[in-house]
Amino acid sequence: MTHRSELTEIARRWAVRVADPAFDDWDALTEWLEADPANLAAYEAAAEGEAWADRALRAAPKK
Amino acid sequence: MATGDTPNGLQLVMLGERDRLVRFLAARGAGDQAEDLFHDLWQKLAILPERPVGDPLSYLFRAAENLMRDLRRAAISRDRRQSDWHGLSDTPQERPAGDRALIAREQLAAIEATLAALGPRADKIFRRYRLDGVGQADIAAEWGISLSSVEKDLQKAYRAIADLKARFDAE
Repeated sequence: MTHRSELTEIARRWAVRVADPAFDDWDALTEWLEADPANLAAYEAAAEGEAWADRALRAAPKK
Repeated sequence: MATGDTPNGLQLVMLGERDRLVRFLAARGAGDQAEDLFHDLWQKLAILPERPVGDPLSYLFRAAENLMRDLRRAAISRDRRQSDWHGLSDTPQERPAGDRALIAREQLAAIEATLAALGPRADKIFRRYRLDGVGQADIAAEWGISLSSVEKDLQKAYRAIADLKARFDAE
């Protein structure tokens, strides 16, 4: 078990990396997700944060 | 599989990497539905016009990742509709359109302010990464900075956005 805030940081690091179009470390992501059921929830929370900002910024009038 | 047609290029890669993809889907939240979702992906690729793909395996993992995100988003909005139906929550969806637009403007202003507070470089890098879909290596080259500096800026921006979202969610 990883400490909660530490897990949040690790999950965020994964979310940042996966968002890169050149990301290709999928097997390592699989292994990390398999390592602890809490990891998936943390990863999804991180992915939702970025998606939330994307939606808002994309809807913004162009500057 | 479902169609009698010859598998296309991506589908051939899919067959060859079936175990890895199913394992990823299972770990990514599909659980024992992973085989079914693999089949859904297969069907999606069948109707896709054939076009060259840089790295087919990465493309397939990305498609699997996106599928899981779509399913998750659909599940969340389904739950929300259900709780709206029972009158248990006051979500933006059930507020009048004027209210919704106001909330969207408030959130946008807060996101812009949060990004601006990080400084111009982190702000621009976050937008370049998220909105323009430019990779970290290219951003590093554009700015003439190291890959780890780009990553640090992105971490900082993601963290600030997550904190902001948590505040909005708590309201």
